[in-house]
Amino acid sequence: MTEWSPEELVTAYVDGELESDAQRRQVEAQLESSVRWRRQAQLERVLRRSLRHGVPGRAPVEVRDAVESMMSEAKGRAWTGWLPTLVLAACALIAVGMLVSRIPMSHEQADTIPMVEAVVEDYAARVESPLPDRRGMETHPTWAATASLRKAGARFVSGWRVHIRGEGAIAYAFVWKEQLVVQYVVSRELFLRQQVVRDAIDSTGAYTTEAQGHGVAGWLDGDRGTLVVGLVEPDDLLEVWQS
Amino acid sequence: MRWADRKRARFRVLVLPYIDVLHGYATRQVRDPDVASDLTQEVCLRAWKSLETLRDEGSVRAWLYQILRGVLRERSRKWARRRGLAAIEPLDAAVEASLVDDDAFASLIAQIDGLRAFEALQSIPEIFAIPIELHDIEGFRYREIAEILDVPKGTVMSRISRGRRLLASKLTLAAAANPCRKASS
Repeated sequence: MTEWSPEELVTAYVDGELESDAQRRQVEAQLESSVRWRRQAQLERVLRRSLRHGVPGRAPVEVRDAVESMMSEAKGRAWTGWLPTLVLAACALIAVGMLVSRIPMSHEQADTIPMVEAVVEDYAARVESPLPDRRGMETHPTWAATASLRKAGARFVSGWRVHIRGEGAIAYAFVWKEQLVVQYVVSRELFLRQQVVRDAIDSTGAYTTEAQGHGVAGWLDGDRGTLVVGLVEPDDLLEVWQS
Repeated sequence: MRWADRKRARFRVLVLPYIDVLHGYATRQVRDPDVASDLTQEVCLRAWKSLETLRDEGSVRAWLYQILRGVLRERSRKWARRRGLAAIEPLDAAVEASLVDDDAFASLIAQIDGLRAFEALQSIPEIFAIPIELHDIEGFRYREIAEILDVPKGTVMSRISRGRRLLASKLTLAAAANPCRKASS
């Protein structure tokens, strides 16, 4: 256990930060026994109060205006690595997307779907650090499942093996519409484990949801299930499925 | 409500209420309101981009300060603030003398007001000043400061304690150097 100096204990006492009754009793005995310690405590209180009351401030209105316009213009986390080459593709896809009619899908709360939570957690963890080397992933047997994304103009950037709900799965990362989207290829059994997913697949052929601010879209592809995750609207991800 | 609208709504509720305090903190760090405005906007932009990574909405304020500390660190060369450790011993002697002498202590307490305390805070090494600012001005708990600065909680406690002694010493020495500058209150 760390030994604190009497000065540090008085500071923590004044700030209400002592963690144990024993420490509190120790400091109170210290304060009772000596005017020097009582003065230190008083001095610290005066300093703290003076600083707290001495500093005013409101951000200039221009700052708020700038932030408001930033919010209006921004669309989310941009994936900037291949920006120049993707701008044209993104514009084309947006134009195509405007022409394609949207199919109403079932939106459910992701907190009831552990599989969705797991892929979103993996996505969130992956985008915070450099993506793994993609070498060899194009030869994996599940690579064919990414045909829709590739057809939609997405560019493959990385792939990795991952465990989703205790089962092995493959993740393929693509840049699509300037966003990083990851396709998780899972077993058909895992994909259809939840009733809400089965119902959505039965009625519309695809499942969409939103989890922790991420859009998720899923569909079946032969004997496998696919979940595409990205910081885009779930319905937008259906463009991939429709392509 | 569309996804982008929901994100905006979340941002408005979680982040916008802290613009004033972020700006105030940035201003105190760089001492230039215009630069502070740029920094505040930068923090908001980064917060917007990574809003999805914020899991615990209860810790949004500490999260924003963490972002601001990152922005400040990146630009710290530009506004190189006082660094390094102060020579503690002579200053300690000054404050110790005040603590054991009735008149000196009364004089020291009378000397302290918001402006002077803040001036003194600006003159001590930032390794001590930053935890004090985050605690005394911004109102963070030790645990939150430890998160923002990425140091153990015990380190926060030590730095605040040592920093306050430095502050008191600076004020003691200032009072001795400018005896006419006594607080009128």
